[in-house]
Amino acid sequence: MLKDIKISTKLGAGYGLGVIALTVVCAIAFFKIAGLQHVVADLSQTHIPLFDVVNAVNGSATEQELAVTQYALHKDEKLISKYEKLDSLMSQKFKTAISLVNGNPKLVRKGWLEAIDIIAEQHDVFAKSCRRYLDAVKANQSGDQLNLLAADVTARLTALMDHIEHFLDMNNAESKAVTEMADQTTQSARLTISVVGIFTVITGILFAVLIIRSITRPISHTIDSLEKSADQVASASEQVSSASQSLAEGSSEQAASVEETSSSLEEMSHMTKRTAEHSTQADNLVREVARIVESAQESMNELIEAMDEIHRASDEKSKIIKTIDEIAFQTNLLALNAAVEAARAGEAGAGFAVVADEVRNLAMRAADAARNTTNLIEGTVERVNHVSEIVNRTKKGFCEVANSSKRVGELVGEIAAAANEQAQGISQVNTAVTEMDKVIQQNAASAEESASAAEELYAHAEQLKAIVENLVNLVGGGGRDSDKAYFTRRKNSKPAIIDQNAASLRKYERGGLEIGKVREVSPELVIPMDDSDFKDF
Amino acid sequence: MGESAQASDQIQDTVVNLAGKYLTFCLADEHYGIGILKIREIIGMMPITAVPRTAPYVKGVINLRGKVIPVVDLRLCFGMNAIEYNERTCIMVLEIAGRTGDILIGIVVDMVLEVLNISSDVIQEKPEFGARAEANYILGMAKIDGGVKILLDIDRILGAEERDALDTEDQ
Repeated sequence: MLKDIKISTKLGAGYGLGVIALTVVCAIAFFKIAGLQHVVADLSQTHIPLFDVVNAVNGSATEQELAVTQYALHKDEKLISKYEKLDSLMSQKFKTAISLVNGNPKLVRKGWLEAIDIIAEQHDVFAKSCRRYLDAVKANQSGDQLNLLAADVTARLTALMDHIEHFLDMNNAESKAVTEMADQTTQSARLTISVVGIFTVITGILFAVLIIRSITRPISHTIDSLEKSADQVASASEQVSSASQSLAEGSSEQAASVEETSSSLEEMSHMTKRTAEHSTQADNLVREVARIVESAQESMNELIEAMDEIHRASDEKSKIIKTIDEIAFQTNLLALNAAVEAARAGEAGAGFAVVADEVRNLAMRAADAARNTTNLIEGTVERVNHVSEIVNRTKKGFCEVANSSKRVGELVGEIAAAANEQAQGISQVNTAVTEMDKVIQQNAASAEESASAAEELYAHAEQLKAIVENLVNLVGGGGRDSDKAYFTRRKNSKPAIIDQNAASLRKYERGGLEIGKVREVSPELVIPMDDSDFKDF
Repeated sequence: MGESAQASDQIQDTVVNLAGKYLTFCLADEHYGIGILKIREIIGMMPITAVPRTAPYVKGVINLRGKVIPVVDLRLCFGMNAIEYNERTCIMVLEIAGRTGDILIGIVVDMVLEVLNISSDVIQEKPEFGARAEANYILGMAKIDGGVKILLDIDRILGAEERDALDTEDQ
C-alpha cells in the first residue's frame, strides 16, 4: 500500500507527522509557557509590585511616623513637607495597589481590594492620628498629650503595619500558591513535552524508516531499471550509430552509382538526340530518294514505252520480212516445180532447168537476205527484249527500292519518333535521377545527423549512467570504493567496449540490489550515522 | 562366189539405175529423196478437208486448181508422231502407179530441200533388215555432204498402203 502513495505524499506525510508532533509539542509548550507567563505576569505585575507598593507603604508609613516624631523633636518644617510628600506618595501607592489588584480579577474576587481599602482606612486613621499629633506638636501641647498622641500614632502605625503584614502574608501566600502552580505547570509541561517528544521521536523514527524504505526501494528499482534502460539506450545508440554510419556509407555509394548512372544517362541522352537527328536526316534523305525513284520510274516508264514502240516497229519489220520470206519460199517452190517440169520435159527442158535453177538461186538469196534481216531483226528484238527485260527488272528494282525506301522512311519515322520519345524518357529519367541524387544526399546528411545524434545519445546515456551512479550513491550511501574505480574506468572507456561496461554495470546492479533488501528496522543500522559513511556526501 | 559376183553386178546395175535427179525433203530430221519424175508439183501448205472413215495417216483431200487430191501424212505412214504444220510444211503432189494408171497423191513433208543430181558413186544399196516387205520401199542410200539421204520408192509405200486401204474398203 505504501508503494501506491507518491514519494512527495510519503515525505509530506512523514514530515507532516513530525510537524504535527512538533506543533503539538509546541502547542503544549506554548500553552504551558503561556500559563507560566501568566503566573510570571501575575507575580511580576501584581504580586511583586504589590510587595513593593505595600512595602513602600510600610516604609512610607514608618517614615511618616518617624518624620512626625522627629518633628516633635526638631520641629523642622522640612519634615512636615516630607510627611506630606509621603502622604501623597502613600495615596499614590494606594491607587497603584488598587489598580494592580484591579488588573487581576482573581484577586478582586478574593477581596483584595477590600484588604487594600482596609489598609487605606488604617492608613487614614494613622494619618489622622499623625495629623493630630502634628497639630498637637504645632500647638505645643503638653508632653503627655503628645505622648498620648504619639502612642496613638504608634498604635495606629502598628495596626497599619499589622494589616500591611497581613496583606503581605496574603500576597506571599498568593505568590507562593501561584508559584506552586507555576511549578506544577512547569513539571506537567516538562512531562508532557518529554512524553510527546519521545513519542514523536519514536514514531518519527518509525515513519522515517518506513518512508525511507518505501522511498529507497522503489528508487532502487527505478535505478535498476534506469541503469538497464541506460544500458539499452547506450547499446541501442551504438547500433543506431553503426547503422547510420553504414547508411551513410551506403548512401555515399548510392550517390556515386547515381552519379555514374546520371553520366551514363547524359551520354545516352546525347546519343539518343544524335540518333534522332540522324534519323530525321535519314528521313529527309529517304524522302528525296523516294522522289528520285519516282522520277526514275517515270523515266523508266517512258523508256518502256519507247521500247514498246521499237518492239512494234520490229514486229512490223518482222511481218514484212516474213512476207519476203514467204515470197522467197514460194519462189523456191516455184523454182522446184519448174525444175520438176523441166526434168519431165527431158531434153527440151534443159535450158528451163537452168533458168529454174537460177530462179531457185535467187529465191535462195532472197531467202538468205530475208533470213539475215530476220536474224538482224531478231537480234535487235532480242537486244530490245533484253533491254526491256533489264528495264523491267530495273523497274521492279526501282519499285522495290521505292517500297523499301517507303518502308525505310516509315521505319526511320518510327525511329525518329521513338528516339524523340527516348530522349524525353531519358530526360525524365535524368530528372528523376537528379531528384534521387538529392534524396540520396539528404539521406546521407540524415544518416550523418543520425550518426552524430546517436553519438550524442550515447554521451547522454553515459551521462545518464553517471547520474544513476550519483543517485545510487545518494540512495545507497557510501563505502563503495569499487564504484569510484568503476566510475573512472567507465569515463576512460570508448564506445566500442560498451558491452564490457554493460556487463560491469550489471555486476554493479547485482551488488546494488542489496540496498533494496528488507532489513530489520533499527535506526542505527538503517540510518548511516557513521562519519565514515558521510564522507561520500 | 559366182552368186555374190552376180549379186554385186545386180546391185551395181541397180545403183546405176538409181542415179538421177531426186527431190530431197526433210522428214523428222531425216533427209529423204524421191525421184523427180515421180513428182508432179510442190505446193505450200493449204487447208485439208478431212474425210471420215479413212486411215489415220490419210489426212483428207485438197482442192488444187479444181482437182481433188488425197493427202497423206508421211510421218504417220512411217509410224512417227505427227507434228504441227508450220510455214515450211509442204505438200508434195506425186504421181504413183495405181491399179488403173497414175494417180495423184499428196504427201505432207516437213520441209522441201532441193533438187539434187545424185550420181551413182554416192548411192549405196539399201541394207538388209531381214526379209520383211516393209524395207522394200527404200531404193537406196545416198551419201551427200556427210549425211545419208534415204531414197524412197514411193510406189511401194503408197501403193501398198493404198492396196491395204482398198483391201480394207473391200472388206
